[in-house]
Amino acid sequence: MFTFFQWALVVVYGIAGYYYLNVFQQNRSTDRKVAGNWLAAAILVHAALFAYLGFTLGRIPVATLGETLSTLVLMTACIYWVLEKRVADHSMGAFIVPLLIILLIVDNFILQQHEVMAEVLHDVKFEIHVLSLLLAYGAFTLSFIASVLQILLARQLENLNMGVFYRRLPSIAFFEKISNHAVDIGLVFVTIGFFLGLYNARQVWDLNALLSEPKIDATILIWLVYALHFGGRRFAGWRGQRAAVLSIIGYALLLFSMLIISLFFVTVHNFK
Amino acid sequence: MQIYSYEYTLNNAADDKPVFDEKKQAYLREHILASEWLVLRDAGFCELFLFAESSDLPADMGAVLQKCALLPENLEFSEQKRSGREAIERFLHMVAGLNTHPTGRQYSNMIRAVFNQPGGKSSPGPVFNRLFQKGIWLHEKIRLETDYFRFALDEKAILQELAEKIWGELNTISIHVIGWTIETNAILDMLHKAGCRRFVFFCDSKARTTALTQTYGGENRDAFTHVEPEADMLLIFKPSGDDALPDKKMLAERMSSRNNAPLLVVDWTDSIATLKQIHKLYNVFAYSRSELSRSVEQNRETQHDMLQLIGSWVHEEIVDFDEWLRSDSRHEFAGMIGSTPAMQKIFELISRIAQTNITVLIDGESGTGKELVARAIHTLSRRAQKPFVVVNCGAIPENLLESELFGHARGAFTGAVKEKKGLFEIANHGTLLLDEVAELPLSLQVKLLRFLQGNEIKPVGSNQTLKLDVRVIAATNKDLAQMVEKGCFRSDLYYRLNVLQLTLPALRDRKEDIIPLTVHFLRRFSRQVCKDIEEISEEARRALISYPWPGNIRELENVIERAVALSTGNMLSIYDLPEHVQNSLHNYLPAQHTRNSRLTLKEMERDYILETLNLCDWDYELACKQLGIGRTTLWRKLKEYGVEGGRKK
Repeated sequence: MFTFFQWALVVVYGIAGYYYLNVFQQNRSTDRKVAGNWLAAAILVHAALFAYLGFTLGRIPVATLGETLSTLVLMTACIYWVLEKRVADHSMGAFIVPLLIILLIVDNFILQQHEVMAEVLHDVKFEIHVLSLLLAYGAFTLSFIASVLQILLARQLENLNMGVFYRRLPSIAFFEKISNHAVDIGLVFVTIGFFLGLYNARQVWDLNALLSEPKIDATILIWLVYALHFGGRRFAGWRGQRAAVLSIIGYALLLFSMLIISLFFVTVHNFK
Repeated sequence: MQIYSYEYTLNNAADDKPVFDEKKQAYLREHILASEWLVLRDAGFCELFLFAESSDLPADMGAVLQKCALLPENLEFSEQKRSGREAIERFLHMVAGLNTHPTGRQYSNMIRAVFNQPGGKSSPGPVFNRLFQKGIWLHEKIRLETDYFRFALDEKAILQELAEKIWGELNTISIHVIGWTIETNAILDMLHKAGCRRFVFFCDSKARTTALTQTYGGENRDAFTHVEPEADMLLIFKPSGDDALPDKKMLAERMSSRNNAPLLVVDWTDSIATLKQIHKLYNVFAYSRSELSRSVEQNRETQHDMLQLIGSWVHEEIVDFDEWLRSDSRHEFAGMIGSTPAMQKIFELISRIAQTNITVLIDGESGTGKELVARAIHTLSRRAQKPFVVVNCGAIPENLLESELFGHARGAFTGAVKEKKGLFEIANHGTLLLDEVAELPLSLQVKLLRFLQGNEIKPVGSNQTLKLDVRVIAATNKDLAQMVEKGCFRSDLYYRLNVLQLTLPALRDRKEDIIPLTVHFLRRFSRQVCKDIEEISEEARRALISYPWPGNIRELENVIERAVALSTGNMLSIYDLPEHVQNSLHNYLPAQHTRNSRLTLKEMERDYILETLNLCDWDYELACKQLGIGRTTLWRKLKEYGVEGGRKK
């Protein structure tokens, strides 16, 4: 039954995605509100599933890979929905929502049984650690999409190619601003999540085990990339596509850490 | 019955806007031979749209317009006439903004002005009103569902679009203008309008630089030597070969000094040979004028491709309009039937004022459809989904009326055991029709006036005032102005109610509508009693037209209801009508008297005289003039025919 609702959730996100793509392709103003409403509906259904799972398991569902992916999707969708209401621009939705759908489909395929987990995963400190990281990843997802669109728009401007991206996307400055703010917020939360995780881990594992842990290494690398993004802008005055490229690299690392390392590497983060 | 358009191209640019006065207006009205028309006239062009019931139009329309000074007498012009769907398409294209001709926008604005400020040289009616609404709807559909209006169609617009794609807002960017050409001011005007305020001018002429600074603000420099670090946009208006032009080195310096903040370079005179190399610099967007022109061409082509889709929408509208024009429903409006000019004028007024919140006073004889008019105003307004409350001020006892209208608090008077909402509160956000408003007692007139002025009411026995949003429509069959004179009605309330007055004509003054109304009621009542009466006998028609209908449409409705109940066949015969209606048959004025070969000369004369009188609306003086007889002769003849009482004395 739960699997049915998970696929139903994909369908609701799918409808929202369809309308966002329609808005992007045809610029039908009438579809804008519909797209926003469907996304809100998807968020509500997703939040209800999240709450149901939480009550059933007796904990915040952020322990397994499947749970974290699903929560990441929910957080990113919420962040985007709020952003859309604030900036009144729908162009990013055509890219964010399909990305979320892909993540949800991956999640539905890899979602394992919510087996009995290690006792440490029931700790509030652990849950805050994961939620902080997921909030940061949600912000980085937004930054990733904004950076991709910024580069696409810049390319069309350079070639004076007045295609659909040129016509629909607002401005380079807009995406730069969104991406920079998202990275700033994400960096704060990734730092909180990382140090909280370290504090939790120190109580269970020794330092050597921690340093050889691929997930922690990947997170340090992600932190460094986004810290470079922040420092480069703040202290070296980086403008234009350089910071955007860095944000894309950071996000690729993030996906690598979340999916590839979790699935294919032997790591203590599997909590088996 | 169709739409025509006459497009005049004036062959001399020296043409001026004509002066159009009342005399010329009268001439146009008399000679244009159309029921509705629109004249679009400005310096250099003229276009006439008209709707005519017949094809008997003036052979030389240009001459008519010349007589009215709408076309110059001394200048040459060419005429292109369109009719039917072609003319409708042209009109729709103009209103919807699809006319890509440079003056297209001007035309569109002029048509909108005609409908927003009626009067003058145009006389639009329901036909053009409907066509205009269709054009506006098309414009909105195109705007909301396509990019048609979003394409930049000249180099200036492309420049603005490029800047907006880079910075979003333009009010903080610094624009450095190097050199000057005849186009510079137009570009600066556009940028100034878009919010740009930080200009720096580099011109060889000191006077020019000062003039530009005075017009657009900003600073001026003596001569261009290097690209200043704060520059965000460089606009180059210098001829090629000029030494003082920015080069790659200058731009690289600026980029390094501003941490690669984006820079837009537009070479308006195609004078920088190394522009491609400049374009390769990181975060520099450099374009020549010719590149912008190519983009304009591309945009035009893409826009033109869209016309195929838009064309199908236009075609659908044309077909729909054409069908409407030829159907009976042309005379229907929000459930009301009326083809007479007076009714059409009322329909037009309703469609104009429905969206506003102004108070309307509807007057007319009893049974003329005042409530239907009020309901139409409500249905066509933004309040359509909210309540429409009707209160007959004459039907409620005076001592109850106040609490009915404004509600009462608990214990306000004996028997007020609980709080009651008044009709004003029930109609909140909707419309309240105060029928027979003349019957409103003076004490309540003050309270109503207070509501109309402050939108607040105080329920009986309550200390609280309620702020309400109610549109008030008043209706009466009495002459309120006369009542004001007699002191029976408050003058201040009268003026407050009478923001717009709609006077409904009596049925006897709109005889053309009697048969369509009869058919309408016949269908309704036949359905109700499961009968199949669709036709009306010739005698019944004559009787219905001849009868003066003192009770107006309500009386007609009752007569038809009775007739349907009594009728035994598929046709409504004269015997189904009440006796007093049957008796009116002898007053009938046959339209086709020549067809009846059995009429005597005397009968022919009688029919002709009565028909003329009817055509002249029983104006004896005018009828005598038309008949070529004296007033005494006419009087004697009417006495002879037994109609000396006449329809009108």
